[in-house]
Amino acid sequence: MPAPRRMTLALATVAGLLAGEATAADDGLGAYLAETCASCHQADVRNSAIPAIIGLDETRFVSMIKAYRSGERSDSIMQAVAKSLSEEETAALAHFLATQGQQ
Amino acid sequence: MNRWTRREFARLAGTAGLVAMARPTIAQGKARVVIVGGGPGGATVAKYLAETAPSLEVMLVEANAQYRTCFFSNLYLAGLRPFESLAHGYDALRTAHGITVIHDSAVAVDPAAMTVRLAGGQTLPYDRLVMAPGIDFRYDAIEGYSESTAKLMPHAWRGGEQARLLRQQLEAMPDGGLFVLVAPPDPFRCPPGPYERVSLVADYFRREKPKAKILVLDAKSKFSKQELFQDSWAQRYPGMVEWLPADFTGGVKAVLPAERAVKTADETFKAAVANVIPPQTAGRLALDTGLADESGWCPVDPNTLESRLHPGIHLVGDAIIPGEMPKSAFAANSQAKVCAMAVAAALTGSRRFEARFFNTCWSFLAADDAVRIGASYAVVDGKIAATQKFISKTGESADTRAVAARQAVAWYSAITADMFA
Repeated sequence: MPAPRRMTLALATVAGLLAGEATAADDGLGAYLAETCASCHQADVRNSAIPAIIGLDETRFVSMIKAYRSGERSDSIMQAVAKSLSEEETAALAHFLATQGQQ
Repeated sequence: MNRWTRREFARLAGTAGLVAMARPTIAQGKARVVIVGGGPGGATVAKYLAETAPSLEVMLVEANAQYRTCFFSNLYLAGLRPFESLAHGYDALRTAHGITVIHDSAVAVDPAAMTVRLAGGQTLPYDRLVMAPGIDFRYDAIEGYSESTAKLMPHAWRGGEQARLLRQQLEAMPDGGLFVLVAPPDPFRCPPGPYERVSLVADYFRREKPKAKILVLDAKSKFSKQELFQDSWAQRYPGMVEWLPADFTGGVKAVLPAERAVKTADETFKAAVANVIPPQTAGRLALDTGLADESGWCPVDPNTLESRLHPGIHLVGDAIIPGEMPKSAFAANSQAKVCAMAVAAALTGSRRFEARFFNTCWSFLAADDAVRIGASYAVVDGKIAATQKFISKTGESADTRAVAARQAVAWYSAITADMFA
């Protein structure tokens, strides 16, 4: 069950300061969705057949997901991922991945 | 530091609510989660709980000092990957993530007292228990097959010693010998696994023992990625592989270990190497704890992975009834993340998002040729259901298959890091 709203917000502000990142959209959804990415995409690897995605530019990530969803990009695994993400979820994930790269 | 594991503040914020929300029954006021089983499911639950809910005490109970993956062991059987590359230790979980790792066997769970008893005599109280007991084998299903028979006719359906035994037997097998693989009925761990094994053993035979033959005696009449496997066997290994379903043979009835023979309803097959993969159930401790139903597998709430039979105990991985998900290491890893979120929410009041799952099973047809099957999943009508599915096709270019093979190798590195690093 969620903690009472006021407490969550107050604590979020403190923790957000600690993390050096806090926006109204950050409710942990991006972090949760990113857990699935971590099953295949390693955090810090070069020249892997599965690219690192942490630190990807937010706008670029969103357009990549759109391209997988439309079929313009062809990998069937990423198409399945893209089709299971809503616009809001894609944005939250994009924001999380981009900001993780700045830490 | 793995940057994947730095969590968002909202979930940390939730855990900070511990003081108000939890019922700290253990000394020092820290609620304790005990996780039994340090395979793909258990290790992932431990790591993600430790990262997302630092106010909890996380204890992982695992008998072995290293986990040896069953996934990718077919590459080892074919001489394409060293044995040691499949071993993963627990040092990072202990030192980088602050998890208490206890190398001992859990022998009994008392759901009423909320305790786990270890073989070494220790009793661990818990606020929540997560069990990732994997599979066990039904030794009563094939006459003559028992735990000791498994040394003569290895199942190699766990990593480690069993895989090494089968590799030794394959290496010692004379050219022209018959390799018999007995494939289990559904449901079982790693649905494409037996057929990937056929492909990679065939690849090894083609290189080292070109006159050898492979016979599959299957308890099923169809299997995962069947068209892809059979197409590849016909093209790459013509005349080497024969697959006989139970509706043709009447099924495997008995084995004669001393002669390495396998008996079906009407025939006896004398093998040079016999790989008998028996029917399976949830791991024994889950059965002993009363967590399995009459199917031999454990029903869970798919939103939380909490047992439907014993509230307060969660289960992940091969032992559960997973809806449309297969029994795979990837599935266990995926379920573990939802489970960790649910356990943290129950004990600390942190936020719980809608359960989402994902799985991909790569299968090698040869060293540089792999195919993929998988899906994303959500909870539909109280069950885990596939929402987006994908599968490789016959007739794909060699280049596409080679890319998939390289992806599979990259995936192994990533997912084992996600579990153990």
